[in-house]
Amino acid sequence: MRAAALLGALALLLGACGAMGGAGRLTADDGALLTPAGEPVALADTWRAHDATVLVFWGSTCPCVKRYEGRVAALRERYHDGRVAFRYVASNADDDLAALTAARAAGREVLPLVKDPAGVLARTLGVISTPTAVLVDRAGAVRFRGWIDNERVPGDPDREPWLEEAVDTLLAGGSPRAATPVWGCTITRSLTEARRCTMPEPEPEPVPTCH
Amino acid sequence: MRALPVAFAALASLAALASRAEAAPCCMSATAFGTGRLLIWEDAAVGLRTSLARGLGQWDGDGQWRPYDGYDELEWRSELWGMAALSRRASLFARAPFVATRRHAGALDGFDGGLADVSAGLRYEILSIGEVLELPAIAVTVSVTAPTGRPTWDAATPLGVDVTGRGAWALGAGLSLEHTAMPWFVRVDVGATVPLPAERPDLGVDQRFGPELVTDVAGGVELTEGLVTSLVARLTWASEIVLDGASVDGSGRLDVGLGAALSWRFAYHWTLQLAVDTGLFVDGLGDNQPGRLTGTLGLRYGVF
Repeated sequence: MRAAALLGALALLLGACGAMGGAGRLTADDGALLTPAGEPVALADTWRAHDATVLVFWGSTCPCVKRYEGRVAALRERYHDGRVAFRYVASNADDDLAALTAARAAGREVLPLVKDPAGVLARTLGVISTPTAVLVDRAGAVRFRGWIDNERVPGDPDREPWLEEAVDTLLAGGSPRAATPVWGCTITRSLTEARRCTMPEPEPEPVPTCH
Repeated sequence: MRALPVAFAALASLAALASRAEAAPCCMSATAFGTGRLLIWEDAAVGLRTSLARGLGQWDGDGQWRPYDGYDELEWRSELWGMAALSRRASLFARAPFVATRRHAGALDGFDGGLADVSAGLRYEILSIGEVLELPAIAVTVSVTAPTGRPTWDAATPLGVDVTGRGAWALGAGLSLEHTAMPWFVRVDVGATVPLPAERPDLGVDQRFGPELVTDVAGGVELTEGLVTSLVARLTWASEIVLDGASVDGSGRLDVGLGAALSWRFAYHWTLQLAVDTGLFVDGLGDNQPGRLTGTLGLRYGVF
């Protein structure tokens, strides 16, 4: 019985949430997040107040997240005029509030860090790995979903700053590239979260190519 | 014979250093031993693995260990392999081994070799490492092996040193389970191979090697970023050969062994692999099987 229940939960998790492309627009109800202190915050309050909101999905143990910390901090510094909001979103099932608090204590909170309980926001946005970045405009529309850049070897002279280009394009009133390939650490889910998965709206844009 | 205990001791000592490792759960075992799998950021990988195996004896059909006496065997095997991602979960792989064997028995001495049986297959990750908290990573493979090597019945040398293949197509399927608790991992691989019937022109009969079941259990640790050591226990069981529909009594095989491996990603694209493997040379832990001590050196290039 226990095995059957596990298999059923796994089928739900994979079938309902596994291969989604992600929502094209956030609603006011999407993004019920928690601060490291456990206080609820509504993501809509952030994207409604900024021309661009950058969400970088975060994992406490992901080496890719660690590798990009400096670059993410520099991005936040570059857009310091208040038009762009940045958030680290912790969606891993095994990154609890204590993990967020520990990251803050260790000086790793280079962006305001929020917990995505049960990974609902990640699934809604179709994010499967860290540190995937998502760019949301003032209307809640998802304008970019992908990797911060194309750099897989540090120091690559052919680096293309995908996220930065998307933010610049959006701030200039243009249409950023919608999606890029993604790599990184798989976001950890829990079988107990299966019933809390929400399906996104139909997504017209292509699913990011994953390698 | 002393090399293996020394290798195990050295690896155990290295494992003690693991507490400071910055392990990546996705990638610890990917290149740890064998051809492995693609790292999460790779589009493809190619490699060359070369092993040298010295025959030390043989288990007879009753499982009795018989050390070689007046007989010497050394096998060189080099395998070119490659794999390519089809998607985040699926990848193709192919292997082309080359074998050269030297045997010496009494006044006879022989050395020859050539292309062995090539294989190709598909690997699909049902669950990636760390994807579901309560479950291990789960991957399945299907493969096919082509009889591109020279079979026994085409041998032209008295000691059979020119035999490089089995002479039959074979279909394979496997299941891999892996659990990580950084910086450690445990992986269980179970595979089955079903050789298809092949005509033996020398005997005028149809021959089918018995289906094989292969199980590997491996545990390892990432000592520091890119440096992974692991221990592997393996078991291969094959049922009896069938000639024209009749099983050949006592032709089944059993092979049990232990191995140790070290892999070092010394540059972003390059990984060096070292491994030793040995049978357990006591009665009952082998059947119809040569007992070998094998050392392997591999070099892997990740394409991304």
